[in-house]
Amino acid sequence: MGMPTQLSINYTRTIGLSTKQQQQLLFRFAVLLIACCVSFCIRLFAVIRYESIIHEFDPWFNFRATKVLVEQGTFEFWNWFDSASWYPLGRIVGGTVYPGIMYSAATIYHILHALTFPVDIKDVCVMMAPLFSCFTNIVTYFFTKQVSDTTAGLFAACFIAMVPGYLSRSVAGSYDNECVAITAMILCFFLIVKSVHTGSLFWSGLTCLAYLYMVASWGGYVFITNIYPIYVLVLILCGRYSQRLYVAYSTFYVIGTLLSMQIRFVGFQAVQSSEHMGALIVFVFLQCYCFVNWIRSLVPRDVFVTLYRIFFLAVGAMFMLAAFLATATGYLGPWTGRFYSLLDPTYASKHIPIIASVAEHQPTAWGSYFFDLHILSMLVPAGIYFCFQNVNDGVIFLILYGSFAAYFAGVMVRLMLVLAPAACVLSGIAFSKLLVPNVAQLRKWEQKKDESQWSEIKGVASSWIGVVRRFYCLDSGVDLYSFGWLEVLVLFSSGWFVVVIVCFCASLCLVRLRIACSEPSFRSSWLRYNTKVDAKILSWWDYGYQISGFANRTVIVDNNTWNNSHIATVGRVLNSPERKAFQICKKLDVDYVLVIFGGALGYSSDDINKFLWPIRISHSVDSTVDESAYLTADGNYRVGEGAGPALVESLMYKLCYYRFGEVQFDRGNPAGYDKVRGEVIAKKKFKLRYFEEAFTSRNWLVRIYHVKDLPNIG
Amino acid sequence: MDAWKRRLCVLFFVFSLFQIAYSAKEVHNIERLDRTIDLNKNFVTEKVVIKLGKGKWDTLELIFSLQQYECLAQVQVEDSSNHILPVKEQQETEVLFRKFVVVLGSTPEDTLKVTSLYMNCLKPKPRVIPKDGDQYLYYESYVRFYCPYEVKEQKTTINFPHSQFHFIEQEKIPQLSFNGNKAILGPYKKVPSMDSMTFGVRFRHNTPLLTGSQVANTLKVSHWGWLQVLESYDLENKGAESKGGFSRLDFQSNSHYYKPVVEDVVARLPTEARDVSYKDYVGNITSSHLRGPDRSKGRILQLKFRYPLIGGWKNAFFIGYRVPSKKYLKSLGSNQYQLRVNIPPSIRSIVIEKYVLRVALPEGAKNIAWDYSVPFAFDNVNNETMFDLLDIQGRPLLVFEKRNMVPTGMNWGSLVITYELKIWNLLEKLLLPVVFILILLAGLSLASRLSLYLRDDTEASNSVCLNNLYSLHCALSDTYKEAIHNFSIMKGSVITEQFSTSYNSIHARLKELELQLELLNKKIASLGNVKLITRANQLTEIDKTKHEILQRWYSTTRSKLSNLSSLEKEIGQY
Repeated sequence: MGMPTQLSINYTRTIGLSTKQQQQLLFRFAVLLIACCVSFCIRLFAVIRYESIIHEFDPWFNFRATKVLVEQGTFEFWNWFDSASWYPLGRIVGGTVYPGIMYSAATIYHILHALTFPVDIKDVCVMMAPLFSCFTNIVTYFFTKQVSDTTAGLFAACFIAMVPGYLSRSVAGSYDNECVAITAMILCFFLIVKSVHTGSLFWSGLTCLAYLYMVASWGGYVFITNIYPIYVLVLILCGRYSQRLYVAYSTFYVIGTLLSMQIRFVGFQAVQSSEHMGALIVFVFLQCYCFVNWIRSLVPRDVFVTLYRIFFLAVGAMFMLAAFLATATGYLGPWTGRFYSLLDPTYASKHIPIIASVAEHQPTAWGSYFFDLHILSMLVPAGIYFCFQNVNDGVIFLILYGSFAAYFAGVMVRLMLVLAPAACVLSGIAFSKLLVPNVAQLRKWEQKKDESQWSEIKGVASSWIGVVRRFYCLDSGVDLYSFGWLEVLVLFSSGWFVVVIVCFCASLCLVRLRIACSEPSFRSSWLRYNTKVDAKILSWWDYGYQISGFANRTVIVDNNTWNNSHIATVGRVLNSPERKAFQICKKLDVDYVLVIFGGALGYSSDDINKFLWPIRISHSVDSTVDESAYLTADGNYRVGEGAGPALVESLMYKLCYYRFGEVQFDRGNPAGYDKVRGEVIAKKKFKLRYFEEAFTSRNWLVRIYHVKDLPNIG
Repeated sequence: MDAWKRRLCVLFFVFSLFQIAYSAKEVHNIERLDRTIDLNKNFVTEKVVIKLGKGKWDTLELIFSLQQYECLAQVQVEDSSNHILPVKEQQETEVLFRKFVVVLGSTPEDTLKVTSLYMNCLKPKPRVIPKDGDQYLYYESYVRFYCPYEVKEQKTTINFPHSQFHFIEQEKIPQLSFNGNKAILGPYKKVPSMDSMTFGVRFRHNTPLLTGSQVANTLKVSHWGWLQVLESYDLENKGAESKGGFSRLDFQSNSHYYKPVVEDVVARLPTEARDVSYKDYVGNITSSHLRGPDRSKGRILQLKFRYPLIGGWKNAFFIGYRVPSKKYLKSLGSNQYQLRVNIPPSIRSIVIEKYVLRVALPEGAKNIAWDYSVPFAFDNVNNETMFDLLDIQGRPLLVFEKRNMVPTGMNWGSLVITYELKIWNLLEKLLLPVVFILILLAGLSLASRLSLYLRDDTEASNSVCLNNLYSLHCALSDTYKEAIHNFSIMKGSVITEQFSTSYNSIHARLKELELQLELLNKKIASLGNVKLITRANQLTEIDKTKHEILQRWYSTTRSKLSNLSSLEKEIGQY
């Protein structure tokens, strides 16, 4: 049996890649590598200009949890009951967290340590987002290649390296679920398309694993859980049902659901909650469809029609019954507010103020489509057009994904993140389809010896290509025709476009950075060193994660908004008069109250500006809270002359403006002039009876008050 | 019985009296003793000039009550010509005091200077003061110098920072007099040994009692040129707390509003210090100034805290820098190296409760010996292991610990560490990654050459044959296409020779391919798979026809070309 081996050795040269193929491979690899480097580097502005630090709110919790995971191990993390948050309730972190990002960081950390690189876990966490953006590039390339072709894949990979919508969520230091989840999501999409194309169990199995990773990383996994069944339905409706689809989806649903149930936060939701029901229904439907098809092949046509009707009536009746029973017995969970707000963008602002109070849950302004997608927003329709020109199973998935993402991005600003990859893939297709044919034309121009008859533009173009050709292929005499796309890419990337995008992204990063870095005193470590170890700190929920991260102290509420009434109670503390606030504080066993006040510095996203939300949210625990009492007579929200009587008496107002009226910060402005609101505060002189100033940072940004003890007598 | 007992008692008493008298004869006297206590700083300096009595003094014993010992930072004894004498702490512990023994030289001087530093013995009293109030400190000590000798005459002078001070129960202290900022106790005559009368004094002193509860200084030596230093500080202002928290407005409007407050400290770094960093748990702290290098003082780093430290407040931060190691590291030949390490941390204005000096030597250092002559230097020395970049076994880490340290207290000299390090250990760090990457690439290239298909052998060989067949045919048809393409782009005046040479080269390649194809066909025939054979035959048929077409096309084109060239010649003739 030595013969075959001999044969293969004989023909190694012919079997192996031809020179052309090898070069193509090399070029593809080079372009991907460059895209990865670019995407990694432009996300490092924050670290280069400032320092290696975790930004914003949620990343602080993720960082804290990762530290627990690394220092105490998996089991401790899994069983972690965090008594330092949601005092006095505490939080079962192991069961209420998406652990994907923490495990990813911990894995990288352990690998690096095993390779004798003793990096700090903080640095690993800071670099997670840029690293995963590189992975996203590669995965996007494969996704687009699967849907369209290599050229489009390379374009898409280059686009996603720089698209602002994704860039702004994945700068170094924004160690959030999304930065891992986008990679996982696109990997999932790639594997879904691949498994539907091939119908292989192997790829379907890999899809399930990618889905597990996605479920472990982000609550946005519901998007995949729902878009795959919709995709299956659409394919069936288009008459594109095949055995491949059956194998792929059935495998995915069964194994994927089982795997997703292993994540404790999801658990039995995967078979109980309404958001996951679509997948189940489509699964059942697919089985029925397959069964009917099988019957059709066995029985004559007239019998089949009868059978078909009976079968569908029976299945429909059973389904209705099951749905009724499940809902009636409470097995099936009700739709959550976030889901309703997806369908009706105005739902949250009407019914759930806590969802509406988050800036990134607001509906998207049209301008941000351009700001987040830049030129891609114009190329997406072209991409969809080209998709329809050459329809296959994968392309249908892409179209579906693109249109759904576009809709959801309109509902919530943060979901722009989901749209960005779709826009990149579609624009990649559009670009490749538009430019590749023209490259051939350009090449023809260049080959004509007689230059005189060409216009200036064409001359420039062809000389560019000439330079590129000479640069890359010296005189190997290889036919460059097939590398036309590459020439365009190089031409393109050395042109204005990259410059514009990079500058644009840089400016975007810096805007975010300026916000992040205007908090040096915000992240004042005063609490960490100068309060008792078991001190409880009350602040509005935005700062919960940061306080537990920076100061390692117990907080009453934090950014994980799982208990609305607790948040509402904190809101009630802040909007009550001092005496009442003191009473609630004592009930909550609060030692310190922290407020963020930007009036002296001009920092506009401070507590006074957010104050309407505590008022609205606290309405749910105390219906006597009347929003109009906090407003001026004509219904405006002002802190100056004519401010609402309840506002002036509220604890928030007093804590923010305590002794503020005595000081004149700028020469031009009178004492007590609030720079953010642009007016002199209404009540300048007052004393605190139940609270005392414990600390105020240099710019008055952070003000911490100690809750006085109850008097000994009376 | 009673009488007997009484007699025995008397006997015993007389005996013990004798014993006391005898031992008293052995005990030396101190002629004269002048003590100066300095309360101007955040630690206490006690200087005692002792004039020894007559007799032969081999050793001098110094005793410190447990309370004093707790606060004692260091003891230094000099003779009249300012030579430092060795001091040893006696290990066997008494219940009430600790004993230090000074070994006097062979030519004993009659005057000795004992300097002892105490820290943490100044307590704010009251603990809590009004925000703008002055800080009062309380100090307690012995009225007469606490020593195991009888002193013929002694006097104590106390220097206060301010004239505002008062002694507790002043009337009970004998011979107390005042002179401006000074208080003088004594002179006292014939003071018996171990006189333990104490006095307490409360005085106004607005210095912040800046104390490092733990200061760690970690040095990493590299033979590649740099010595890394990372110092970590846990600071606390142990002064009086202010009542009712901290008011930013008052602090901003008047920087002297809070009296015992510290906003910044100064660190003295070596002249060559580079890449200085100042950070804390949260991240980089931007409020610092680096000055110098100044020839005499080195570089000065002024560190401003994130918030002012008023009494009772704490802070923690890190300072890091690096210096070229050639100044500190010396080769002694034959793989022996000597390292000199400065002992005190770079912030000198504080007192330190626990100081830890860690020196990490390069990985693989052996036969480590350290030498430090200054007494009292360290309480504890440990050998540990540290893992840093590319370390496999870990680096040896020497950990020196000291309780109570006053960095400015004395000339610390330097710690000398010698060790042995082979050249291989130096190169290891370079070679390891290189070898690792080489192995990785080799592994990758090996893996790409392996065929890991799990298939039946005959089927595998069949499929290999088929694959080969297909790729051969592809190559063939590629060559055909290339030929036609080559010909088609030859335009204008094409010379017949050029045309035929290009055809010949193509033809040679075709021949080669066809030879291979023939070989392969034979193999396939020998394998005896019917399907394969028929497929191979079909493909060969197609190739044949293609070849024929090409040949036909070539011959016609060639004849046309030769016609053309003959026509051209004819035209040329006319």
